[in-house]
Amino acid sequence: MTVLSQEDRQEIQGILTTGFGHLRVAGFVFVRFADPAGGRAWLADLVSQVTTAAPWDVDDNGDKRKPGATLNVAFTFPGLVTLGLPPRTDETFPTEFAVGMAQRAAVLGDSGDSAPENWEIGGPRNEDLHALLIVYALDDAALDARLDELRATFGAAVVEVASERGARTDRSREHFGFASDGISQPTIQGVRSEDAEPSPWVIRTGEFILGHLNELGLYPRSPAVAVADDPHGVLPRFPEEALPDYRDLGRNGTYLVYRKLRQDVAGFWRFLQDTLEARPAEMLAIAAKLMGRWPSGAPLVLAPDADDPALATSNDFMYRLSDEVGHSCPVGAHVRRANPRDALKKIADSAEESIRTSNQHRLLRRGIPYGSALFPEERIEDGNAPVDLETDGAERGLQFFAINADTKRQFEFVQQTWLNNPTFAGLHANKDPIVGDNAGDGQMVVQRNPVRRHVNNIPRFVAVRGGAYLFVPSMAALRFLSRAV
Amino acid sequence: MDILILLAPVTRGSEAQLRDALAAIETDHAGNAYLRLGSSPNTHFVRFVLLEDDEHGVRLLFAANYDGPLGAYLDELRRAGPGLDRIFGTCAGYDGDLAAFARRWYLKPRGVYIAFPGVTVRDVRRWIAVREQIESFLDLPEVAGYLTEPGIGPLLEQLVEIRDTAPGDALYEGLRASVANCGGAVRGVVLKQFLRIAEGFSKHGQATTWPLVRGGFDDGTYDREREQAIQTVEIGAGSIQNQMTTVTEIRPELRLRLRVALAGTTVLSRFGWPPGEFADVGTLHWFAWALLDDGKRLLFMSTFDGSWQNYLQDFINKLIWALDALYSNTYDYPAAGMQDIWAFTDYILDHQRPPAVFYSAYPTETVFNALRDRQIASAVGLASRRPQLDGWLGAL
Repeated sequence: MTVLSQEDRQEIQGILTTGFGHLRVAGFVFVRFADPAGGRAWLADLVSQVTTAAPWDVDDNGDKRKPGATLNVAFTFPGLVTLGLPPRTDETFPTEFAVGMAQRAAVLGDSGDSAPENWEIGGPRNEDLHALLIVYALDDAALDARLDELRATFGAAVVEVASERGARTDRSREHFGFASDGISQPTIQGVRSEDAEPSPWVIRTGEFILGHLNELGLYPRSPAVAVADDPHGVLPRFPEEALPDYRDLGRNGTYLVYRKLRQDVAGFWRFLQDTLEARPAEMLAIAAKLMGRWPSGAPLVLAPDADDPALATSNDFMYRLSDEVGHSCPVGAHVRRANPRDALKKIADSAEESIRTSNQHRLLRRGIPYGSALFPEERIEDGNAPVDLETDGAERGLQFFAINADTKRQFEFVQQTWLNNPTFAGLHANKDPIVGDNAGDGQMVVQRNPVRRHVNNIPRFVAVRGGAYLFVPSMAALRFLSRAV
Repeated sequence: MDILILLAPVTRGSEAQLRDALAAIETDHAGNAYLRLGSSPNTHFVRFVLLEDDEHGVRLLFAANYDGPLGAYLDELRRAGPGLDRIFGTCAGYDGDLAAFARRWYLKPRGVYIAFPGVTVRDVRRWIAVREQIESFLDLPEVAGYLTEPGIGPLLEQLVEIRDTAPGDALYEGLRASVANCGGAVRGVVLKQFLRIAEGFSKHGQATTWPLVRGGFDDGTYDREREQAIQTVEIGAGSIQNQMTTVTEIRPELRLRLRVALAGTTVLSRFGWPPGEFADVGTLHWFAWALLDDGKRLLFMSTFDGSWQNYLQDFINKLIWALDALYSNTYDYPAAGMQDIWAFTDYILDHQRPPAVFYSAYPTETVFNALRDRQIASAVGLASRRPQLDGWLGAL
């Protein structure tokens, strides 16, 4: 039985184990360190304010005392180098993190509109990013107050480079009108005692937190510091008494993927209405086929013909037995690509093998929408689709955050081998219809009896506006980084 | 499909010229001044790789997967290669006689797997074309509309009933089933034996469950730029295929064991699985091993579908026994084999040699796609002798 210990929980930053669902708004402040010593001094003062994964206190009534605002902090590779890493420790970070997201455009499919040259944050034409402050709060006023407090600590050493916000909607829908993707969130083994054992739904801790066993039965590769470079013994040892000459800079930390994803909401519904000449009910049905779930969140495998709000949070389904060929949920639908569950063929002989493979590529998502809704959520209920939408010129989308212990094997793999792979599951020239790098020539096969329907000329509905690969240190690692080298 | 592998020393001073020529080919497979691979109808895949070591200096590795007799293929290369002499002319022992050059520097492929052994480039392209034309037909507005309502359901029902009464079917199905069973039996027996041998070969270490420290603290072979280059090869709309070429050093005391493993791989590749499904991986177009330098080094080459990361994933989940049995006879291979994923990944990265040229005749077709396209094309092609087809159409 594996449950995270109290010691571990006090070391882990809170955002790894919870999305702070009770806090409605979030602020993301990107900063650059103007000088290393000043940056370290600033960080040393900040550490005590960082929200950890330690269980919340309980009040006299037995209710959890949930925090009214939280703070978490993450660093880019240049940020760590600027703060100062011991000799050769920089080389123990994985390559994709070291080169940064913009350099991985070929892997991620970030081309055309989404190319890093066109980004607002993290691209070659944008200012250097060193660290990211993630603040959640109850409402806008509380968020502004907290951000002002933090900004007041910056001084000359910390320079604000960019600032973003996000806000949850009333019904937790994303901007296209679908239930947010938290429904299929993997459960991390060991955060709650009832999730002590891995299962198809409970993913081993080491997929999301360094220093713990992962789905391969191994510890994820972790950045290291020579013992001599940690004279005060701030950092923990490696697990199982391995590597006695080194200390584990990664343990209880993780990697965070940030993408600012702009959604073309009018473009999405107009494509269904105008290009496909669909009637409202049909617009909804096709949209659901592209997504793999209905707007309420009900999965197509369980609700093939119409939305069923009773199944809105249902995540207990598989594909192979009931829907192998995709008549309910198309093989290339967004949710079936993002997590193929038991449906992987050619690489997996059996349902069990497919689930095992799928579970080696899961992401813990911490996304939150930004921008105002283009249409009221009622317009997409009771079988209605939002018709005649006009764009209002405003920016809206998703502040996408994903947590994983191995960005190559998790985020990048999902992006390249599943979402953007034109030959996913034996398809031809099909990419993810929602988030794929389609450019007006996208195709999607909707399997159907007797003959498939082809949705053609799919444009890009989601464009990348910025992004970064970040390291979320443990509390010990934060203290270590804040010391002079 | 056959495999031609040549490894020839590059004469001193010609290296720059050769690199320029290969870069020109890679930039434009169809229209360059040296070798127009696009106009060679019998070439499936080609790669040129420059290998360098202290003992031999720079050598040119050329590997081609081709259809038909070798002599005819070499003639075809010459026709497609207005600047062929300027490529092979940089190598020792080339006097314009390509056949003599090939005889001199030939390497025997061993432990070969080919997804579709009897299938030509022409066949694959025909499958693709048939599927694409059917897709376009189905996408015509009138047709697409008709398919929904009234629909071709009733017609298909009738067709199925006709086929069910065709006398040859039961016999054909029975024959197919027994052939499949036979393949299964061969696989069962051979695979069991081979797995036993492979396990014996590679079980001399436990997988380390802890992470190795890589980079600054290791032996210094780590090269972040090389890793970045290998991992960011563009896979997508233009080409979904990828390649791997590794050169490793064989442990002299294990040469015999390596040969046994190569022979076992050959048998399994040929008889172990249905076409396109080696070890149930289904993403491998072909692979081959070869011994270099009097058995001192081991060359591995493959063409596969998807990213490097995906390929390693296939290895790790599927091919452990196959690769362990072979690679475990080389230096630097992790004691626990592929189980030790970090060490295995590092081993592959350290020994991979990126190609100067990588060409495919059907770069957007995966093995999985080819299996489906063959199924689509062969079903409609059953009665496609021209007079029969004309007769059928004429009867309407």
